[in-house]
Amino acid sequence: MTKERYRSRVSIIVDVLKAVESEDNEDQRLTHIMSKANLPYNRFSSILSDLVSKGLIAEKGSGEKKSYALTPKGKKYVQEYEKFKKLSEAFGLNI
Amino acid sequence: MAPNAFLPIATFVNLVSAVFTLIIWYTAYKAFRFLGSVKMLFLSISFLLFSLGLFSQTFYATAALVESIALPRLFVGEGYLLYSILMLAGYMVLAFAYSIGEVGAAALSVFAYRKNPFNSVTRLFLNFRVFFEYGVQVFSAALLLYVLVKVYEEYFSRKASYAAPIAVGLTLLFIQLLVRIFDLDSAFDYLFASIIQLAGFALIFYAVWKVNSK
Repeated sequence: MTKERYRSRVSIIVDVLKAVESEDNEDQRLTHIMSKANLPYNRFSSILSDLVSKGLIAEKGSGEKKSYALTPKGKKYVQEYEKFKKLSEAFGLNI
Repeated sequence: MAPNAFLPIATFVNLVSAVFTLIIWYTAYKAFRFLGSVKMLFLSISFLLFSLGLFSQTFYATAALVESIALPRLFVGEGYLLYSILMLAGYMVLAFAYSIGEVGAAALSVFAYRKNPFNSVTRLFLNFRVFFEYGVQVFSAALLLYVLVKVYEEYFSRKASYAAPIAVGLTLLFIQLLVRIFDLDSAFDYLFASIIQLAGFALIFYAVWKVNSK
């Protein structure tokens, strides 16, 4: 039986950022990001607006055509997270 | 080569170890600030304590060399005791980092529900300082053994990148503790233990540096 692991706030933020970051460099729609990040709408919208205000995600368009893209600051954040996660894993510490 | 001629080399080796541990502390602290993980906080504190211990040992050993203090006094003096206690504290905090989430509460309760354990320790310190220093080393080795078991368990189950040098580095730290426990009665033993310790910290430093530079 495997232990159920809860996501920390940082890992949720990174999941949202990764969901926004598309492989083909296209801007992502809200529903697509939400389903990829695996979050309920209420929680997702507050995190998303927080990340937009902090400049990690760029908001484009308006209304139904609103889309999102990862900013260079957001990309740097994901890279830093991966680096520190790798460090904790190298020490055998599950964060 | 005169026996005491090994001491300046050992002191330099300890200084390099102190610098390595200081850099590891800073990197682990940055990881804690970013991830908000208590485990990373304990990891960073443990390396800060290692660094303080190694710097203090460098300082006291240099002072001993300048004052031409006899070798046996160097191993039972305040400097070596401070070093041993700081290293023990480091190993204790390191063990905490690996115990959180499993037996974290139980481990903390050992300290929370004891009636001032330092009273008995102080008595030992006053009467049997040498014995106390050996006790500190043995306790450190026991704690590090616990950490080693956890690290190797994780290593064999996940095979995370750069986990191997960290596991080997911690193993070397364990070996140098055994050298200090069983065979520390000459300047050469002291140098030998310091070199193994440096190799251990250097390997951990290498892994941290490689991960951090990506």
